Parts: sequence; structure tokens; C-alpha cells
Amino acid sequence: MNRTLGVGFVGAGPVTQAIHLPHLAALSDRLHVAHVMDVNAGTAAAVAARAGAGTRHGTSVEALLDDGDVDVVAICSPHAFHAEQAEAAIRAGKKAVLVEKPFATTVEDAERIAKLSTESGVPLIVGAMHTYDPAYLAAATRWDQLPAEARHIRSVIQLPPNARFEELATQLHGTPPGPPRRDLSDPGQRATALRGSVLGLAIHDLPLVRRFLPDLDRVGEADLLAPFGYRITLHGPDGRTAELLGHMGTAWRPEWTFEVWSATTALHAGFTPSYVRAGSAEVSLSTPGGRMCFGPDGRNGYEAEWVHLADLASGAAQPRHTPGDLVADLAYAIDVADRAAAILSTQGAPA
Amino acid sequence: MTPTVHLDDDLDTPSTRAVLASLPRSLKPGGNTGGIRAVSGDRPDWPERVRTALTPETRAVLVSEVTPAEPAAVRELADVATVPVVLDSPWALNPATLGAAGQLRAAASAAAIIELFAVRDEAPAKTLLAQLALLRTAVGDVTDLRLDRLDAHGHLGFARLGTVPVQLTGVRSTAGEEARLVLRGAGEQWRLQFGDAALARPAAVTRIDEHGEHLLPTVYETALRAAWRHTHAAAEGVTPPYTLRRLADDLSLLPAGALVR
Repeated sequence: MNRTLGVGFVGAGPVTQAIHLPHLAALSDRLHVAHVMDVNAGTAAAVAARAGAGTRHGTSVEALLDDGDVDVVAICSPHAFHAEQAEAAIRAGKKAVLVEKPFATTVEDAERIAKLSTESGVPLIVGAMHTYDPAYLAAATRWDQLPAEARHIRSVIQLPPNARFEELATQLHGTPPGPPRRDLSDPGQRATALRGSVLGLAIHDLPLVRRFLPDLDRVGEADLLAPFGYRITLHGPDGRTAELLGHMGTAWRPEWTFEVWSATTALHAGFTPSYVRAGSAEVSLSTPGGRMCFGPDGRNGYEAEWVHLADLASGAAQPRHTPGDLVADLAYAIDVADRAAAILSTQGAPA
Repeated sequence: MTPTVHLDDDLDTPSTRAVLASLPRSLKPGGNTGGIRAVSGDRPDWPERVRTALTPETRAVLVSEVTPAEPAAVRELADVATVPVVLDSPWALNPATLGAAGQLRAAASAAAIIELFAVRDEAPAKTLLAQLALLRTAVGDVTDLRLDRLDAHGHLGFARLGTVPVQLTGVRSTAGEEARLVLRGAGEQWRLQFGDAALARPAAVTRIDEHGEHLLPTVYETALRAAWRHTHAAAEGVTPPYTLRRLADDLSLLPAGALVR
């Protein structure tokens, strides 16, 4: 039997436990969890024990990178550590590196890591799962001139609280602390909260938005939605517009859609929630020639992302997205977040 | 006695005839002086034409395909109109809209955002006006309309319903006609989804909360048939859901540039 590729997780929080481990288990013919690192030793040990008897664990990134059974490193730590840990993983000569969103907290860091990836030949991907969704990618082969002719783009993420899906995906070890409470009557805190919601939630589909609205002229409207969410409008220099809407409430029904219209063509993608293995998006493309449908495929974007990572690590594929694209995606997300936050920081307290 | 209907020449189409044929007890086509007059709102002088239609024999007027006009002219028309004037609109008179209006109004004040979205191959100002009419009949009177964009390809605007933000978006495209009204609240959502208003495809009105979702009864009626039904009711003394005064209020929300056809 061929040896499967070993994966080392840097950070063993809910995303690792509820999203990555179940998807990895479904690809056990190609990948196994070799090492789990977390700053909480108990979490690292518990999550490693779930992954398999031979899975090592600890609180040291260096030990994980020195582990010869770790071929692929998945960086699922808090955002502020992504750049430093990605750089260390590349320098350690691993076969491939996955960095969860966002790639880094500054464009300069991302550029440095992208350059290092290119020079070292260690492939790097960012966990923007919808950019790997099989149905979305199938539609992309047929949408022809839509990126050039798009007039309006709409990204809507309406979700119940994460716990609803985490409980269906796994049985979490420990409950992570919630986000810090903010005084949202303070414009500065509102701006910080909005920036956080862009880099925490909207960022999932901003690479898709950038594909159809690559040049950002201005942010027209930006605001927080209660109890958690955002609404932001983007304008391109050629009259294109995009709406970003994110909202979390207690209503059960999730809505994760990405839509694009030109004068004659419409793209509609409905994605499945992140935590559950519910398959790919269902995508429709309405053109003057008729309506085409894509998906659902059995694999969602996360699973396709891991398959791609395994292909990269084994030398069977080239990165679907270049390091330059990954840097541009991050620069776009930070630009949207900063411009939106700037609008709120100059406004008074909400009515 | 069934009132006779006098149609503008450009409204005397097979689709109008088909609608009238579905209301044989209420309306009788073919009159020249008609108890009920139908005027095309798709002409710049439609307020004047409505004024001309207000003869002693007229019992009600239906204005089809309403396009922007000067709010003062519409308000003046409302002042002089001695009979009810019904304004055709793709979504505002939909039976699903009016059937859910009471619940929508109750839910709207607790919404985090109210979204209106429409794709049609129509002049964007006309679509925007239709969205404002839908807001009036479904959730209430909005204020403070600001347009971030209104051009040949669509519109993007913001308004308020009390303290609740309202976002109005329109895209001009031939890639299928649809419209949505969504209320997103902390505990519940409401979704109204309309198809092609020219077809009798039912709007889907759904209330979603943590316990599940409830689809309200579907009603298969075109927007035009709903408008004619309300016109007959108006002739019988029932106040229409969307009036000239409400239209004038909506037109007053628009910037002057949006009134240019």
C-alpha cells in the first residue's frame, strides 16, 4: 500500500475540528493527520487522539515542522500568525502549504510569502473554498465573456449561528471563547467590527467578487447589521456595482449565494454551508442560448481544495491560483475592509 | 350592470383582452365612452391623458405601465380626480403581497435590513418606481431615498423605513425577469419572490424562523389581472391599495434627474 501524505495542523480550533478533519477523513486513501499543534496542549492531545493513534501532538510549531511525517502543513491559527507560520512551513521544505483565510494581515507579508513560495517551489494555497468548488469551476468554463461584461455582482451570506453546523459536523473538544464584545455606539469600535466582519465572513467570496469587479473605484455604502453582519456596496470605475450582504440570526435557513448579471447573461451560485459535507454549489448560467445547470457535485469546495493540495504535494498538478492571485485577493479584501471601516469611523453613533 | 371598458389604442392588445376575458362578470370590453377607462402610463403626458379621461361617465381609471412624472402634476391630478385611479404595478398589487402585508408590516420594524432586488429589461427608473410602490403596499412608507447609482444599466439606492435600512437594487438585463423583497431580522426572515409579472406564476411568500419555514398560499394571477380586479373594485367603491397620492409621494423621493424619461 502506498504511503499517504501526512498533514500537520497548526491550530486545532473549531475550523480544524469541524471542517478540515471530517473532509480529510473522507480522503484517507490519500491523506492522514500526522501531527496536531495547538497552544492549548489539552486541545492538541484531544484532537490528535481523534485523528488516529499514531498522530503526534504538541504546542510547538517547530516540532511540527521538524516532524518528518508531515508533508503538508495546514495553518489554521489566529489571523495574526498566518504569515509567520506560512513562511516557516515553506522554509522547512514541506511539500505543500494551506493557509486559512486571510492569507496574511498585510499585503507586504503576503507578497513576501508568495515570492518565497515561487522561489522555493513549495506550493501554497489559501483556503478560499469556493474558488475550488467543482460546480462553480464547471460554470466558469462556460460563462464566456461574463467577467468582461458583468454589470452587477451580489454576494449574500445569511447564516444561523455557527454552532448549528458545528454540532452536525463534529463533537467539538472545548468551546472557544466568543468574539470580544464591542461598544457599537462608538464609531471607532463599529469600524473595527466592520473590518473584522469583512476579513472574517465576506472574505470567503471576495475572490469571486474580484473576478467580476477587479478594479475598485469606491465603497459607496458600508454599515453593520444587527445582531451580526454587514452591508457594503462596491463600485468599479466602469459603472459596475457589487453588493455584499452578510447576516447571522437565529432563523434556520442558510443562504450562501453569489450572483452576477450582464445585459444578457446571469450567473447564480448557491453554495452549501461550510461545516457540513453537503456537496458542491448548484450553479445556473442563463444566456441568450439557454440555461445551463452545474452541480451538485459530491465534493464541496473544501474537499476539492484538499484533493488539489494532495495533487500539488505529490507533483501531479500546478497550483490552480498563482501566488500573485493570492496576493491580489488579499489586497482586495484588505482594501474593501479598510474603505468600509473608514466610512463607519467618520460617522456618528447609529440612530 | 357590468361596467364597460374603454381602452387606449396601445392597451387594446391580446394580453389585455385575455385578462378581461378572465373577468367576464366584472368587466365588459369594447366601450367607447366607458365606465372604466384604461390609460397608458408609458407616455410622457399620461397625467394629462388621465385628466381627460375623468368625464362624468367614468367610474374608475386604470393607468398601466406607470413611468415617472412630475410629482406636482400627479398630486394635482389626485386633487382633481373625482373617481378612483388605479395604478398598475408589477408587484405592488400582487395578491400575495397584499395577503401578507399585515404580517410584513409587523415584521418590518424589527428587521436588520429590507432588501429589494429586481432584474428586468425595463428602464431602471421605472423599475425603481415599481419597487417603491411595492414597499408602500407591503411594508410601509419609506423616507430618505438616496441614489448611489441610476444609469442605463440599473440602479442602487438606499432609504429608511423608520430606523430600518432599505436597499433597492435593479439590474437591466434580458437574462430572465425576477424580483425579490427580503426582510432579514434577528429572529425571522421574510422572502417574497416574484417571477415574470406578465405570467400568472405565483409569488412565493415565505416566513423563516428558527423552527422552520412557512410558505403562504400561492395565487396564480398576472399583475395586469390583479390591476384590473382592483379597478373593478375601485369602481364599486373600494379604495385601491396604491393611489395617485402615494405615487406622488414616491415620485417626490426621486431626485429630479430620475424623472427624466
